[in-house]
Amino acid sequence: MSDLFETQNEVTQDDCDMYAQNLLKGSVIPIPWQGFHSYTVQSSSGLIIQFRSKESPFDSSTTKLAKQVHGDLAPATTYHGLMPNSSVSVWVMEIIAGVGYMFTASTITIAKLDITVTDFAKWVSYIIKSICAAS
Amino acid sequence: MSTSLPPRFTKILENTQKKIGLITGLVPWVLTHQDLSGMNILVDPDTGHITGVVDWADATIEPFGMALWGLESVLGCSGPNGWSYFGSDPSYSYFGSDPSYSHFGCNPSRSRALFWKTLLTEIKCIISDKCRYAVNEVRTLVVLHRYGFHWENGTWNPVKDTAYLDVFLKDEIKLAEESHKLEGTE
Repeated sequence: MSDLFETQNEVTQDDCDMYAQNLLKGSVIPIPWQGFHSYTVQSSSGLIIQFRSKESPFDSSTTKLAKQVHGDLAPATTYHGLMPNSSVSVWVMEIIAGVGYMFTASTITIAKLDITVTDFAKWVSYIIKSICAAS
Repeated sequence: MSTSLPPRFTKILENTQKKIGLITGLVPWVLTHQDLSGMNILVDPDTGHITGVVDWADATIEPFGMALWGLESVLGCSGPNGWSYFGSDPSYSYFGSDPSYSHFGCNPSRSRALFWKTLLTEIKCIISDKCRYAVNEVRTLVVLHRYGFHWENGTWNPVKDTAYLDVFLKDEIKLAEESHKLEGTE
């Protein structure tokens, strides 16, 4: 489970769930893997809401830049202010299809690994190309 | 770090430290993901295609190559018996007779070669050898940085278990040993 609720006492998990439900006008469930300093839920309407502690602040310009550079590979992210009377920030992101690579370990094959590695290389080359185009 | 790691890393650390200013000036600085791990790289489980990369929260502008340790997380994964690579070439025997790894029969060299081949085919602009060398040096630096320390009792400490470093810096260790031997015979 998320460590957000151990590292601050301004908001509880219930607060966050309620806030997310109100914001998205629908039910939400926590995603199965949670990162540090944040709590993330998923809505039935296809959006992700992330609550982040001030220990790990998000910067709108960073997420905007990531989207700009990486296009469909990076989720569109919008800032929704702070939770009432707290320093916990609220972020809404679009859901990207797929599962974390490490969770596919049991079903991986050489053919699939080759595809992933090739995609990774294409992605890096895309970054290099955009650098070349810019300079 | 140089005092706590085994001597086989000394040369690599010295080189990296000496060249850090030079190499970070040679490569372009780009938006760099801070945790490009198997958790944040999303794939289609049926095809293997990468569908997205999440958690850009802490991304910063850094020398190109600083996220290349993420490639390692695509080439293998950390399981109950430690780090292991995917693949099936039994000729790859880096882990020797360690039974916990042998059944994976891994071949990261082949995957890494596929990565560079695809990359070089894709990029139309030519990268100088100097720049490619610099990117590799950045990779060494970031591998040392990521896998050379662990979080314990509230601080970052140099690792005692060098399993990751040994795997990820295999080529660099070999090179350092060869140059050491050469120096010894002169």
